[in-house]
Amino acid sequence: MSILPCCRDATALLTEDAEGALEGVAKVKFAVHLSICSACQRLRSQLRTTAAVLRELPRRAREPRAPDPAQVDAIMKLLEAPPDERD
Amino acid sequence: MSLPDGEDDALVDRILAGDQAALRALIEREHATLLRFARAITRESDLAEEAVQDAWVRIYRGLARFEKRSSLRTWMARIVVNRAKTLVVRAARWAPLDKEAETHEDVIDPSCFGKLGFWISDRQPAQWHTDTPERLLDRQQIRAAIEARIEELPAGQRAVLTLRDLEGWSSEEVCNALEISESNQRVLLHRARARVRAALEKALGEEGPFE
Repeated sequence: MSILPCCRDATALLTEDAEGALEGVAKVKFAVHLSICSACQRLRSQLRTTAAVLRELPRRAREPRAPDPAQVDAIMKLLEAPPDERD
Repeated sequence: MSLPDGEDDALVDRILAGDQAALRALIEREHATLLRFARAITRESDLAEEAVQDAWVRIYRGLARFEKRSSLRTWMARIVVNRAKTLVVRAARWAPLDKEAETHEDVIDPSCFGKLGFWISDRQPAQWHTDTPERLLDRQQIRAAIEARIEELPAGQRAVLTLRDLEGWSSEEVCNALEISESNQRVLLHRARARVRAALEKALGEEGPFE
């Protein structure tokens, strides 16, 4: 077994690390690899950017946030029906 | 991901007291969000609509039993997710998400790495000259590429990515709603983000670096 993870193995751990799931020796080995590998650092940075873009995306969604009033009326009507008719 | 507790509590109390305007306000406020949760599971708009409509009946019936141990939205989302799963299972299109996470998938193209598993120099991730996520999303082509890639994600990846990144759920909330383990949730999230990253990289390449 190698002392440090290779890039292939390190890249597989990027989200594990971001989520705080790496511990002990695995965490240290990963951190050392990242500290010396600019390519893996760039990938980590890109994944962070991706996550930030995804968090921002709903604010730009073309889909209307509020439903059509007719749709709300239909749901209200459904909820007002007696239980046996709802099923 | 939720309103202040007091606001939700007041709304629930008014609905339980028979206030139809409050019920309408809740539907207007939450329907689109619940529909997105359902669509993350069903992938089909018709099935998602059916799931949310069924869920509203269950939410309304069960509101008196809402114990406020989670936010109102989380509680409603669980009902929607369960209903959506039931409908997908009924349509014989449901594959357990844990099973999806346990299948092998190369997140990075294996040809990017040499025999020893280190990056090949000309296949390394490029430096992104990007600015803020807001500025990235100002570009229609980039936004379209990301949305298209999300649509194409396998069911589990799409569900986890939607709930975690788009809706801001915690990992615990996602695991509970989707009934998957923490580790498999991370696997699905990693794969999903990596696929979106690849789409973003391609779109950036096509559009040129950010100035």
